[in-house]
Amino acid sequence: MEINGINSGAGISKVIPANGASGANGINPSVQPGKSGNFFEELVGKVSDLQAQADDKIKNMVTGDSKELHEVMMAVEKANISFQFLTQVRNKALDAYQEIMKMQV
Amino acid sequence: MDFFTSMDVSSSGMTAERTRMNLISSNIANANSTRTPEGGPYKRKDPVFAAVPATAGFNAVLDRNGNANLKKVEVTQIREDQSPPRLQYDPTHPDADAQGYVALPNVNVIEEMADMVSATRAYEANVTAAQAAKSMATKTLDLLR
Repeated sequence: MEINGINSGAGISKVIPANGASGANGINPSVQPGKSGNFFEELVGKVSDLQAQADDKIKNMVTGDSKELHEVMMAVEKANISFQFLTQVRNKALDAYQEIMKMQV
Repeated sequence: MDFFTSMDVSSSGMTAERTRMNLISSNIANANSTRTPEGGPYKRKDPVFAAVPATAGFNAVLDRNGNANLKKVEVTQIREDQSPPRLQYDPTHPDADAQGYVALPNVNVIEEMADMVSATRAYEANVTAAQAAKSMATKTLDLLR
């Protein structure tokens, strides 16, 4: 009897693909390295962008270039929410990983 | 993310109300200014708000979330009140005319105060909307917890 459901079922390998792991016995069959599979990296990049934007807005505010206080608040809030989202996704992925590691073989 | 769109719309509302507040401050500050660079007394200024599409250009066409109908607010014009100036009899004033009347700005401070309350409340409403969008987003994140 063949057990291969875990390959397609465990979404963790799609979210955080281990670099170069795709060769190891088909752990990662659906994700091609170097293609758009690395969702997590993209997410981190977007969150980082939003934080850089918030930083820029704060800098412009304190140097007096901009006087739009609410836009600074909005940018910070956006960065905050997206960072919370990132940490939630990361927590969920780690939970799934730990759940699998705890599994009795 | 769509929550951010509603925060942007609220942000545009705050910008508009802040512009309005600036104009009200200007009106109150100049309630007694008899001279302007353009000549004559200061004229009361009023913003004109207009609804503009929140998502512009190609993105609006491709938008499937109904954001095509979403409108931001923008101050398109600052209107000068053309009503006649208040005339006050004060022959010693340097800006008095031949009959001894001084043309004072057409600003009614009481009206400006009422407008100010309205602008403050409208700004607060925008802040509340932005906060609600934020709490919706964080509540959604709680789903994953």
